[in-house]
Amino acid sequence: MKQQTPKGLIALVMLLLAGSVAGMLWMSRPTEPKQMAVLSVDGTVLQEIDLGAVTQGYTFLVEEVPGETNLVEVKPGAIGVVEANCPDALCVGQGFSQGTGKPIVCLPHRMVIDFRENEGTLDGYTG
Amino acid sequence: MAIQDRNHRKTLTRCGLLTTIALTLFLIEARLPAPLPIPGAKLGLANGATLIAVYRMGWKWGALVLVGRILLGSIFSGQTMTLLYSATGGLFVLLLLALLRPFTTEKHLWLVSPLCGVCHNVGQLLVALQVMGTAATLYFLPYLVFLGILSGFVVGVATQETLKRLVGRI
Repeated sequence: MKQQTPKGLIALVMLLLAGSVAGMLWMSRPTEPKQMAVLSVDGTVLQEIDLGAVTQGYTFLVEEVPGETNLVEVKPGAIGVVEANCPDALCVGQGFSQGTGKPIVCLPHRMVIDFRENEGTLDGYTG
Repeated sequence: MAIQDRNHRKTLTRCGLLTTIALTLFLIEARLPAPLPIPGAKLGLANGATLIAVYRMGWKWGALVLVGRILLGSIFSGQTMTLLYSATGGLFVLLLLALLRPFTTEKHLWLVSPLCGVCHNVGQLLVALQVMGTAATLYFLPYLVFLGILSGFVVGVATQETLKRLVGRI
């Protein structure tokens, strides 16, 4: 009877655990906020918003596919989903983002808000 | 011939039972509010039923339980995207189980299940990458691997303890 625990599997799980922890730490390292928010549904870019240029907050409804709605709120320097009719509403749970790396994702509606550098402004790195 | 036929019927009944259990767990889980704002992360208790089917009856029966649960689960939850995500995740888990089954036993579920969790989440993420057409979803990869291991471990231990108490009954 084979009672021995396969050591390779333990090593594999440990490796994945260590790798994922390292990845999470790397992902959440402090970064310069990226000011351009790019909103896309099904891989098609619908809107590009310069968060740095927003002076007054506003909301708009994304309904690229009829019946699949996400209410997006834009504030000076931040963007987030405030309401969605998907079953889990995880996009709302992800809160507001200042563009520091973390995209906002709604899997059921295939909506992504990603961030990139604003090419219009010069900063110390791209200058 | 008659005995073989009866055994076959028994196995089929067990699979039906396991599919029912898996579907119930799946639907209850879908009703619970998600504890973390990480897209695609969940406990995945239904996978316990797949594990039982694979380790007690072989991976082909396990595949039957898995496909049954995924199809019925997405019909009952009314989510078309769920079908795509969980079918790919499920396929990855099946391949992994077919690979691991020959040199593991029921006593290794605590170790096999975390790998299932990772496989499922990575499969889902690949679909998300494809559907969303953006690499942004890759940000969640380390989170999904980490949570896949944690939830897989919990499910694995729960399944192993269940099997201990089900000796000879399923």
